[in-house]
Amino acid sequence: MGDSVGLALLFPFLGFLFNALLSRAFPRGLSGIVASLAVGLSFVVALTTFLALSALPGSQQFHAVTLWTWLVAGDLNVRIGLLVDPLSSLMLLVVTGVGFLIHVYAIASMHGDPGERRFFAYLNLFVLAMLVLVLADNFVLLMAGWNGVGLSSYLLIAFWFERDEAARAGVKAFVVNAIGDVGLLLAAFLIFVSYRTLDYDQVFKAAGAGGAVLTAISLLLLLAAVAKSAQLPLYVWLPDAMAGPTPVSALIHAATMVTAGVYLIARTHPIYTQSPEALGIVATIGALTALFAATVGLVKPNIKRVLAYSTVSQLGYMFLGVGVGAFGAGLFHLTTHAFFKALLFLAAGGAIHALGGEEDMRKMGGLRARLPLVYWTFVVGALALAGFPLFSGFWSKDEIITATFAGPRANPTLGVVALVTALLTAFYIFRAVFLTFHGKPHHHLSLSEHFHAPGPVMTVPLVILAGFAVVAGYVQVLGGSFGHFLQPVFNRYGPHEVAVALNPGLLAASATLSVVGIVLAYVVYGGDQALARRLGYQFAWLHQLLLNDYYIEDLYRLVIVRPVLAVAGFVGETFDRVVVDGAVGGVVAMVRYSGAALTIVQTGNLRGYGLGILTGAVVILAYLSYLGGWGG
Amino acid sequence: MAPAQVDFVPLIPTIVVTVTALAVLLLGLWLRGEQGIWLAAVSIAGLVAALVFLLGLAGPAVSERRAAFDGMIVADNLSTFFGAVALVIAILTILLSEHVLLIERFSQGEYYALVLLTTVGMLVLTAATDLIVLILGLEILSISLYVLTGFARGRLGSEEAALKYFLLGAFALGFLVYGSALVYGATGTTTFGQIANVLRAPGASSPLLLIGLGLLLVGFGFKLSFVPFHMWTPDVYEGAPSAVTGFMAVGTKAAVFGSLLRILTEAFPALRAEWAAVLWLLAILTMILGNFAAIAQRNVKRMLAYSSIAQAGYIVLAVIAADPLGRAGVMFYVLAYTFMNLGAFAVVVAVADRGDVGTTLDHYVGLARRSPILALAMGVFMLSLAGVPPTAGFMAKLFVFTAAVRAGYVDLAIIGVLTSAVATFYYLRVIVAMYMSAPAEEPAPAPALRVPGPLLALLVIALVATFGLGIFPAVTGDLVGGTLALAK
Repeated sequence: MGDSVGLALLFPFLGFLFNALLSRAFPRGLSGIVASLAVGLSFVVALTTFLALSALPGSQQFHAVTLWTWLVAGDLNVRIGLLVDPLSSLMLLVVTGVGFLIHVYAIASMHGDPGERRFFAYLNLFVLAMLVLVLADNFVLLMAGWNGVGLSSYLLIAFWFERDEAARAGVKAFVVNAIGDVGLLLAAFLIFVSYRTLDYDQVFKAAGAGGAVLTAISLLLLLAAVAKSAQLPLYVWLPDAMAGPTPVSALIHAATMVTAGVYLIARTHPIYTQSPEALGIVATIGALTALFAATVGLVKPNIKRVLAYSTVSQLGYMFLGVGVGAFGAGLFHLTTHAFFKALLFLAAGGAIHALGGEEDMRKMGGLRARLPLVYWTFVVGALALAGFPLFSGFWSKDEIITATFAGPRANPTLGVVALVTALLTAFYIFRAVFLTFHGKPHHHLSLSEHFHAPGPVMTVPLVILAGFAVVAGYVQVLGGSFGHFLQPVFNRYGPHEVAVALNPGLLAASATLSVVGIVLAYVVYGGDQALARRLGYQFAWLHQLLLNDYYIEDLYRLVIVRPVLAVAGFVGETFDRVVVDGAVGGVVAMVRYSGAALTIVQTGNLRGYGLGILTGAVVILAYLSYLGGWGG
Repeated sequence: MAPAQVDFVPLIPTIVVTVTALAVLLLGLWLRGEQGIWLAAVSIAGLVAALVFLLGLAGPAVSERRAAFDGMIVADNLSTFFGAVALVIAILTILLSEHVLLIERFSQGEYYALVLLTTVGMLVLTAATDLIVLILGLEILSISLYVLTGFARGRLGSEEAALKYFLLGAFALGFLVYGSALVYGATGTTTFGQIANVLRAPGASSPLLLIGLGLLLVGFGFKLSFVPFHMWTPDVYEGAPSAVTGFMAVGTKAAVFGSLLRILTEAFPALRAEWAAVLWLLAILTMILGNFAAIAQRNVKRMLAYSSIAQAGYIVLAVIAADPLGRAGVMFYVLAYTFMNLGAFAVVVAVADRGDVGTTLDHYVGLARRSPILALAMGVFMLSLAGVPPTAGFMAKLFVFTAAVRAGYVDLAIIGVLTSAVATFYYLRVIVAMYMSAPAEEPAPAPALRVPGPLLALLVIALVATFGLGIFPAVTGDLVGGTLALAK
C-alpha cells in the first residue's frame, strides 16, 4: 500500500491542467464539475489509504514513497518523497474531504462568475499544494508545498482583482507569508548545517540527541507557523483575506491552509520536545492569540470577519494544545474545527449569497424564516464552535483545556485564558446568529423576489458538514480512537504524546461557560439591541479599541511599512544619485578621463560612477592588504 | 622552447559563429526590411551549428580537459556548459529582437552580426585559461555590447548609455589589464595553471600579487555589476534598446561568471581566503543595496537592472563556496537566470512599443486584459525571480544558499534569504500592476497587444524552461551534457 497515494496528487493536478489549459473549449459549467471530481477522486484515495493504514499495527504505519529524485549535488540530496503515516493520512482525509464538499458548494456559488474557470484552476492548484505540504517526507518538498499554498491563497484572495480591497489583501497576505517563508527557509538551512540532511526521518532521529540548536530551529519553524496560521503578531493578513470568494474563505482560510502551522509543529514534534522553551512560547502565543482574536470578534460588524477572527482564535487553541505537548488534542481540534468552521463559512455564504453579496450583519437580520436550512446548519456550527455540550467542538476544545491544566507541561494561567476565551467564543458566535438570522429583516432584498435562496448543490454540503460538526467529536470519546490512531506518530521518536483523561470538573466548567456565553448573547442581541447600543456608547473607548484590533495595524504601518519604504527610497535615490554624485569634489584620474565626454553627456553622473569604482577599488586593496598583514 | 601546440578543434564553435557573423554582415547589404527574417534564420542556423559542435566536442567524456595553444584555451566541462548557455542566449536574443528591428528600422545585418560577435567574445572568455586571452574575450564581448547599447541612433537615452558604458567600461578594463600585469610581474606567467603552480610554493604570496588580484576583482566586479561597481548598470540598462538590455543582462552574467569561477579556482586556489573575503564583502553590499534600491524603481527596466544586480549577489554566494556544490550552484543559477530574465525582457520588449517608451510600471497596469499571455508569462518570471516554487528561481536560490551554508557562510545565506524576502515586494508589484489595478479612468480601453511569432516562441521556451528547471532540475542537468553532475 502507500504507492497509490501519488494518485491523490495526480487528480488535482490533472484537474488544474484541465481548468487552466483546456476548459475554454468546453462549456463553462464543466470546470467546477471536473474540479470537484478531481478532489472527490483524491478523497477516495485518501479514504482507502486511511482505512488500509488503520488496519495495520502501529509499528507498520509508516510508508515512504519516492516519486523521483529531484536533485543530487554533493551531499544535497532531495527526493520527491511522500510519507504516508497516520498524521499525513488524517490531514489527507480532512483536506480532500472538506475540500470536496467545498468544491461542490462552489459550483453553485461561483456559477456565472466570469472567472469561473480560473477560480477552479486555482482551487485545484491549492489542493495539490496542500497535499504536497502534508505528504512531504523532507523539508524541501514541504517548502514547495508551503510556498505553493501561499501562492494559491494569494491568487484566490485577489481573485476579484478589480476590487481594490481584494488586491490589497492579496499583497498583504503574500508579504506576511513571505516573512514566514523566510523562517522556514532559515530553519531548513540550520537543519542542513547541523545534520547534513533534510529528510524528516534522519533529522528527527538526530534531534533525539538534543542540543541548543534545536531551540533555534524550533523558533524559526515557529515563525513560519505563526505567519501561516495567522497567530500574533502576524495574524493581520487573515481578516483581510476574507475579500476572496466565500468558498475560499471556508477551504483555505479556515479549514485547511491556515492549519498548516499546527501541522508543522505537530510534524516536527521531535524537534520541539527537545526545547521546552520553544514549546512554552508556542503555548503562550496560542493562548494570547485565542483571547485577543475572540475579543476583537465581539464587535466586528462583518459576518465573514467575525468568522475570520474566530478562526484566528481557534487556531490559537490548537497552538495552545500542541504547545502543552498535547499534539493529538491539537490535531483533534484541527479536525473538528475544519468541519464546523467550513460549515459556518458556507452557511454564512448562503446568507450572503441570498442577499446579493451583503456581508454586514447590521443590514441582515430576520433571515431565519426565509433560509431555515441555512439557519439551522449555521446554528449547529455555532454550537460546535461555542463548545456546547455534546457537539464536536466541546470534546476537542476540552481536551486542549484539560491538557493545559493537567498535562505534564501544564500551565494553569494559560488554562484560565482558554476558559475565558471559551466564554467569549460562545458570546461572539451567537451574536452573529442573532444579528443575522433573528430580529427584523433590515435588507431590502429579504422580502423581494430577487432573494437568491440556495439550491441543493449548496445545501447538501451544508447538511453533510453539519452532520460531521455534531458527530466528529465522538470519534474520540468512544474509546479514544482518535488519539490512539495518531499515537504511533507521536511516539515514534520517543514517548512524546501526552495522554490526559478528560476531567469531569473541567468539562462541567467549560459547558457552563459556553451556555452562559450563549445566554448573554441572547440578552444583548436577542431583542431590539437597545442594550447593545447602550453598552457600545458607554464603553466607546473599548469599542473603538476592539474595532481597531488594539491599533496593531496602525502600529505596523508606523514602525515597519513606512520605514522600509523610506529606506528603499533613500537607497534607491539618495545613495546612488546624491551621495555619490555630491561627493564628486577632487576626483582624481576620472575627471580628466571623462572631461571631454561630459560636454556631450547631459549629466554629471559619470564622474560619480567613476569615483564609485575607484573608491571600491581602494577599499578592496586596503582590505586585501589588511588580510595580507602588510602595509597597515 | 617547443613550437606552439596548435589545436583548432576547441575553437571550432567560435570559428563557426565568427564566420556566421561575417556572412550575416555581408548578406545584410542585400536583405533588408521584411527579408531580414532570413538574416535571423542564418544567424540561428550558425548558432545551432556551433552548439552541435560544442556539445559534440564535449562528446561522451565531458570531464576530459582538452587544452590548446599552450594552455591558453581549454575545452572542458566548464567551457562547454557556459559556451552552450552563451549560444542559447544568442539564439533567444535573435528571437527577442526580430520584431523590434523591423518596427524600429534598425539595420538588421549589423545588429545580428554584433550579437554574434558578442557571442564570440563570450565563447572565448569562457574557454580562456590565460589572462591575455581572457582580456581579449572580454573586450570582444564588451566592444560589441557598447555598439549594441547605442544602436538606437538618434535616441538620446541610447547614445548616452552607450557612451557611459564605454567610458566606464574602458576605466574598468584599465583595472583588469593592470591587475593582469601585476600578476604577471609577481608570478612570471599569465597562464592560469602555471600561476597556480607558482603560488603553491610557500611564501609565494606577495603584495604585488595581492594588488593584482584585487584589481582583477574590481574589473570582474564592474562587468558583473557588484556594488559598488554597479552604478552604470541602471542607466545603461534603461537607455539601451530593451532587447539589447535583455541580451546584455544574461549574456554578460553567464560568460563573466563562468570566467570568474575559472580564474578563481584554477589560478588562485592558494589565495582562496583572500578572494573569498573580498567577495564576501561585495556579496553583502550587492544583495542589500541591489534589492533595496529596486524597491524604489517605477521603471520596469530600471527595476530589472537593480534586480540583476541583486541576482548577481546571490550567484556570488556559490562562487565563494567554490566546492562542487558551489560550482553546480553557479551553473544552475546562471541557467535559470538566463531563462527567467530573458523571458521577462521579452515581455518588456512586447509592452514597450516603438521607441521603448512604455517601460514604466504604469504601462503594465491592466496588462492582463490587453494580453493575458504576456501577463501570465511575466507573472511566472517575476515569481521565479522572486524564488517561488516550483519555478527555476526557487531551485536556484536553494542551490546557492545551500552551497553557502555548507561552505560555512551561514551569514551570507541569512542575508540572502532576508533580502530575497524584501525582493518579493518589488517583483510582486509588477504582478499587482498587471492583474490588480484596473486603469483608473478608462477613456478608451487600451488595444489588445499582439505578440509577434518569434517573441511568442521565446516566451514559450522560457516558460517551459522556468518550470522544467524548477520541477525536474536533475533531469535538465543531465540534458545539458551531464555538466551539472560534473562537480569534478
